[in-house]
Amino acid sequence: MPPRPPLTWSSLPALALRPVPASLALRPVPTSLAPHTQTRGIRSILPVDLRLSRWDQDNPHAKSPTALSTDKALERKSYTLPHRTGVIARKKGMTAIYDPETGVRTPCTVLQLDRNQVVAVKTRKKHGYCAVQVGFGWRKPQNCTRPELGHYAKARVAPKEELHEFKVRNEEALLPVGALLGPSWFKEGQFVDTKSNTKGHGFTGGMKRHGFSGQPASHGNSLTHRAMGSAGGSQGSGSRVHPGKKMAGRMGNESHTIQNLKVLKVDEENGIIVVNGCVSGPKNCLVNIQDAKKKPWQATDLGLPTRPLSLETVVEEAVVAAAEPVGDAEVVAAA
Amino acid sequence: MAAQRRWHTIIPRDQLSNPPEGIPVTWLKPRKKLSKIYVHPPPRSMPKKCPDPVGVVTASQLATLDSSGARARLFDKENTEGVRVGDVLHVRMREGEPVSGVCLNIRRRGVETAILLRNQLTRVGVEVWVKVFSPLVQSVEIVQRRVRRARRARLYYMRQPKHDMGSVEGLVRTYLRQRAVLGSGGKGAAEMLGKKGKGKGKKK
Amino acid sequence: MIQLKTLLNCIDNSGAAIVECIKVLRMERAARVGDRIIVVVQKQRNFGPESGPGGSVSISAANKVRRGDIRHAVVVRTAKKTQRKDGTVVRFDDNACVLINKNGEPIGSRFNGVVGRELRDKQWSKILSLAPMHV
Repeated sequence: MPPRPPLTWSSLPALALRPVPASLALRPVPTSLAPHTQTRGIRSILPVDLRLSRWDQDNPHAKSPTALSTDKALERKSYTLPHRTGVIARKKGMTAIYDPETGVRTPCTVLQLDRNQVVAVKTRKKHGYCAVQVGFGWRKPQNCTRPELGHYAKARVAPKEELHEFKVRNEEALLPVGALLGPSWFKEGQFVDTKSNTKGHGFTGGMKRHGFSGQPASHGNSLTHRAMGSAGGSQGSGSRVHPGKKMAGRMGNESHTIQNLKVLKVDEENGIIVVNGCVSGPKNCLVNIQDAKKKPWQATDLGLPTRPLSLETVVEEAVVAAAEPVGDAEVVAAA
Repeated sequence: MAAQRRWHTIIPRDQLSNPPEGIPVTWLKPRKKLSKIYVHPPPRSMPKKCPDPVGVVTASQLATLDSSGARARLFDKENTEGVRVGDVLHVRMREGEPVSGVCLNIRRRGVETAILLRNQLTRVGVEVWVKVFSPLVQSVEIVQRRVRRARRARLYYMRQPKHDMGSVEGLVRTYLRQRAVLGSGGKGAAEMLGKKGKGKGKKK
Repeated sequence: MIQLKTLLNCIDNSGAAIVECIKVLRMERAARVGDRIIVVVQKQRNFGPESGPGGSVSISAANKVRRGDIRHAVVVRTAKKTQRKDGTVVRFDDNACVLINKNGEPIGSRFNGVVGRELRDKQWSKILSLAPMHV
């Protein structure tokens, strides 16, 4: 390795390109004055204060093309983002509901919520987008890593079986950490989207996975009845298999959203939400439920809650739960 | 360098004062003590409180659709007086014409319990699955018991011309006439089925 | 599930006995009860015993359609199960239809067989009123 040249003032770039002293850059300058806009040079080499997030709109250096384009993108997308966070539920099975008046039978899926709590929130300022991280169920502390335990301890909630981030439209939709979300978060008659993993089918052939036709059973055919056939042309198409060619492979167990399912029943006592029709996935799979994206926002019509149970209730519940023996309340992680 | 790379001996802390000679020694770093992390207790478990949510929804449905539980008893597998495959049934609906036929199959699924009735109307075989807890079903009456217990759970062989029972209209008409004479009112199906069954037997 | 080449019983007195589906109209899927199809008459009905002695004259009069005729028809019974709003499921032992003209009026004046109730939902009230029974 050649010896590095000594760092001297003479070797630094011209004065105009020299970094602004950190003490100056720290102070957010009023935009009207905007001294940084008059600095000549390449913007990307200007020093960026690391203590201020690049998503922070008060940070003058955050007015970079990246931040602006992200802002614009979020603004464009905002009308498709839900006004409220969603919850995580477990699919328990299907049944039907009869209307006693008309006798109409409605097939439905029964979902059960379990200890949905807000574990963290993501803000536009710090993370660049708004989201609510919701936890589901309970996991043994022995089965958590120390960083996970620290994350839960910071939120003052018990370790969760599953975490999911629900994107929301703006900061108003962010909820206090630790808040408990029950089925009454949804109202009967409203529409929701459910997102869950479909049933896994394992490694399947082209006929089952993509609906290929297969080959004839007879007419001199031997041993190839369900094969996928040709994978593409020869020289004309480059003598290669084109990207995205449908082939045999693992089928199912992939995320699938079903939009606009009507909520038929809400049972706060037993944690039950009943939705119209079917939801992807096997029984006991986890389902994310959120307000329907493609329906008008019905908060006022249906009286949808925008704030969950008060935090006092959460604490109360925790105290009651603490009285019951649930295992080690305190864990020394080194053990 | 390569010559020095040999097995190193790890010495416990308390023996550090007198290391053995001639063997390269790796000194154990003092281990950093990990801080304790408080684990908060969980709120009440919902699956523990309600282990069978589908059952809860079904029960709430049955409470409104079959408050007396008579219909559920009629289709209870344990109930010897209940409906069994091979029986000729007459189902009266709240609106529209009643459905009757021989019961080929009983699908017991809580509130989704259904029966498959086969009949011949205008010499065409018609099969109807009826959801027995549907609010449109007013009553399920047993017109005729099967003489012997069916030895299959599903009597699909009765679709074959050889085993087809044909129309049950005659049986139903006789049953309805007899019931009108006896004036039993036809409120509960389970009460009258004993009498009706015997009556049918004599006629045969 | 009525599709190309399906043979159906014709249950009206137009003179056709067995017809074959050659087209399901305005649908990509198979036809069900109440759907309109195009059929070709494969077998004529023999009105001999019904028309009594000397009926040979009236055979031609009774048969409004002949073998090989192409007509429109409405499916009235299917062997495929049909589910209804209240959860009941109905299936028949055969597939059957009645012939209609281009305006949707039945060619026959009398039907001899049970028909599905789905006809009511699809505005075939005239066929329903002519049928002896509907399920």
